Amino acid sequence: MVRKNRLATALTYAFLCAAALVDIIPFVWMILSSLKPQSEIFSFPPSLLPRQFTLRNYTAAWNAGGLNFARMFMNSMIVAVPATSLCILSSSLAAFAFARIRFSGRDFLFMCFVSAIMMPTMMVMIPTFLLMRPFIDTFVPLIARVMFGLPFVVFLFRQFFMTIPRELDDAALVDGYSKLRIWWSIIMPLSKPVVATLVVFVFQQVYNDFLYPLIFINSKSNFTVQLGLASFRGIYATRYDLLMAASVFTLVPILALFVAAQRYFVEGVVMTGLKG
Amino acid sequence: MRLRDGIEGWLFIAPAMIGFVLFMAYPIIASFAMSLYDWNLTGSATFIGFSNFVDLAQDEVFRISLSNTLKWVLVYVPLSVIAAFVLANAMDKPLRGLAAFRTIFYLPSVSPLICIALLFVWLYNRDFGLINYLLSLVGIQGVGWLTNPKISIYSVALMYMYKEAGYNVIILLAAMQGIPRQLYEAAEIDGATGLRRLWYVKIPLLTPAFYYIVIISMIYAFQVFTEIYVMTNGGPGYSSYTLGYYLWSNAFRYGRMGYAASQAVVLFLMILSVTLVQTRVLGKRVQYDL
Amino acid sequence: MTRWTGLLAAAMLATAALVPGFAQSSALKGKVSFMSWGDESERRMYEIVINDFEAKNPGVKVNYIFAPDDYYTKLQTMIAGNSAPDIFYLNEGRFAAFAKDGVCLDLGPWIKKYPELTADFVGGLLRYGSYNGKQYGIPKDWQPIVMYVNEDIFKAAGVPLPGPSWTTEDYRSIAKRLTVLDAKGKVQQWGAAVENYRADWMVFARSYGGEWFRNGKSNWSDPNVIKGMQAMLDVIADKSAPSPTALSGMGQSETQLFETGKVGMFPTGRWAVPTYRETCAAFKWSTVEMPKGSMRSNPIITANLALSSQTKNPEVAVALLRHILSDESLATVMKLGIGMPSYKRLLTKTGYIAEPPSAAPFIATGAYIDSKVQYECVATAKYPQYQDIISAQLDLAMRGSITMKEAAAAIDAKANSEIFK
Repeated sequence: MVRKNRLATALTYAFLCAAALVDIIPFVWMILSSLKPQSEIFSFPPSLLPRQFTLRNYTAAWNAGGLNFARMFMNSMIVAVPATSLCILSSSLAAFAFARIRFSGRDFLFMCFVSAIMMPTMMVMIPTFLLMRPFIDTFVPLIARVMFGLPFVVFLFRQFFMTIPRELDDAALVDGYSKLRIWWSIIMPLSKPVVATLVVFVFQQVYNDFLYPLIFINSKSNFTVQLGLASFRGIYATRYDLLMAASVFTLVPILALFVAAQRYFVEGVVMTGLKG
Repeated sequence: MRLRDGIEGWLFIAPAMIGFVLFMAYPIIASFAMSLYDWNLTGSATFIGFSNFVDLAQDEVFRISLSNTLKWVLVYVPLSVIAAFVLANAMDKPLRGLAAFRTIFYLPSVSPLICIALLFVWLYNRDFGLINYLLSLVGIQGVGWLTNPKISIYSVALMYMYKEAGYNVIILLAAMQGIPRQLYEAAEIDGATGLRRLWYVKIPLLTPAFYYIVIISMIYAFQVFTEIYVMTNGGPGYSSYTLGYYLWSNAFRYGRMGYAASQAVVLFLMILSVTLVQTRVLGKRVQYDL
Repeated sequence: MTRWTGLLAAAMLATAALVPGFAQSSALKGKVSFMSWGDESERRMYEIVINDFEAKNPGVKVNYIFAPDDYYTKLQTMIAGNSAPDIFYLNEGRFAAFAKDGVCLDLGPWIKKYPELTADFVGGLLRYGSYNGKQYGIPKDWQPIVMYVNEDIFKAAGVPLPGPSWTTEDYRSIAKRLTVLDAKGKVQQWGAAVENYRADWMVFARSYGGEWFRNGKSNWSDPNVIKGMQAMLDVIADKSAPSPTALSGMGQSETQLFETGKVGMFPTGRWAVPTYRETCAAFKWSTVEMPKGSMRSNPIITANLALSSQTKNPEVAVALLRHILSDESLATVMKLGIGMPSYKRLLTKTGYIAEPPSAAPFIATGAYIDSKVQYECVATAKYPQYQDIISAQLDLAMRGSITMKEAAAAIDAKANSEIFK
């Protein structure tokens, strides 16, 4: 029995390592490419290690053509941090109502809310632009469209809340807790894992968004990181060397967030058919 | 009590409702309205009733885009769910280094799409790409992954699967770890081990998670645009035109915003009905109270 | 003391008002926005040009908007939201649609006031900024399409570099001779590479006098169009050039083959020069005019500078336009090597067009700009949709799945029934 288990564990490791290897090859190539001049990136047969190791791409990309990645990182944070935190709050509030409070039209509303993501972004974009016209070239539209909550976040929150035993609420109600207080001091503390997971999901979505910053942001001083990154896919030629270097450093903040949120992840999105 | 509940309920969802009205309901209604006009974004709009929909029914490129999109959905959705399940299942054990694996598998999901897409353009290059180079080492002659019209759409879908699998792994893994261990023990006493346990205990309990990732993957798959824009521009021929790409072409290249809106409306109704059917079918098992 | 200063200032103001030139330049006040696409060197160039403009006109603030990707999605969204930039780029293929919708300001009166804006233009070029006889845009520069050659590859193969009078037959045979296979028959080096890009096919389609657009209709079935296109496709059919990836004009694939020294000949525009100077340092390269059929024709690939018809401050916008098109500002562009000047006098000015590569082949193309076929087509305001139909069929013809004749028939059938009804 023990031997069989050992063998199974070894096989699992072998499988996971193989999958991880396949998964990571493009990234290794990305990092190695970011250390090579453009002409060497496309040499064939592919060369693994840079013939001439250079950090030049990083310094070149950081300020390429009047771009300023330090500024763009700051801008991305000014957008993503409030957008993410407010989105988590409003979504969890709504999810709490959808999971715990009975009111007329609730289920229909929930259905409408969730089905809203089925409209292609490309269409939603134009009316949103018309609506937010007074705020062109500011971060307001970028934050506003996320801060009121996103359907998939509400959906996953609601799912998690439904697994929390209802007896907890009932006991609190008897103690004279208001609904708001139940949400804040009973439900939310129990939801740390799902909060951690959704923070990563939302932050990533806002941080990686390209289309909305493209249409709303005009001045280079208001550029977000993704606008900067896109400019390496030039109109005349793609600068793979600079793009790869820039990709590496744009990945850093989001990876840091992921690693920090990791330890909460374990039961992040509880979705079994069992309630409580 | 009921009235109070009602008011409270509405207060709780008030912020979400503001967002819903401004950024979802209004644009969706506007899209429905736009679909009845001949409008090119820069000029004036003329009301033309349902002619856009009539044109749509006869549009061959729309038909091709629809069938390519369905190919994408039918290949991508099951494959990505299966891949995510296999990975998550392997990780659903008390292993050392789990955090590292999870990070590695999630890495593509957090990376900018444009970067991954351009990486794959290179990996897929017929003559000088890494994939065909590796194949040639074992004596297999590679193909033009993006230049062969028979497979270009699948190649792009494969890239997308690679990129998005990590997201599904996180969701499935969390769901698996939420299954109480006692259930496995009970199953073992009943003699269900290994595959039987997987099939009769684990998978049924994961239905809600499957439901979620299937729906989400499907919604995104129906809207695929950037991948095509960066990797193939719809080619070769029309072999990788998708609904999302054709919609964008009409809206922002051909000066046919109204026509694009009619496509969006059709797409919207299509996804909605598929979702409703799925909810009906899976509804009881999922217990989602949708 | 202060009283004296005040008086002095008043006196100066009075003088300023009396001297017309002085008064005019200091009267410019306000904000103006300018939007363009471009790579990093172009962005840096505009920074210089705009700083210079602001220094000369202290009352003016320029808001330079740079769209990193998907330029027209942004521009059209802005126009739909009544927030169009005052000056913006419009390429030759999409220009007419905007002019038609009244988005662009008629520049006629301004050109009358400042005739130097359009005087001395390279032949045929100015037309691409006009619609229905009115001038709505001014091509800021133009992009000759020439053949870039890797001289090292020619030398190694013992093939002399082609001269300016080479023909499409020469092109085909040279491409064959430059192609290198390994023992297993796998290509190690391509003789040539082409892209499914409008500039490439426009050169070949016209090289035997064919008119791919005529009398308001798609006309690819013209035997001379097919003959010209065949010269482009033969090189692929011979396996002297890879069948191009489906990307049209984004510089992601074929250009990299050239940059890494795997291709002997590669046709593309002047815009490649700044990039190649950096990325092709490992080998010797130069350019030669495109091969000749029975004639030569070069398409216009350009960006028009257009003014918004909604601009609140046309004086300032025109001043910026004049500044961008001044010899001095254009000199910055030419130093980058990114385009050719629109004014004839600058073409011949020694040292104005940065070398290497030699400016001669680029200048020579100015003599045979296509001022008819391409213009008539883009003036329909439906070019983008037409182009997508063409690219889709050419993809198939380049892969050899259908013949050029079939592709031409399919293009005409679809375009004439759906677009040019």
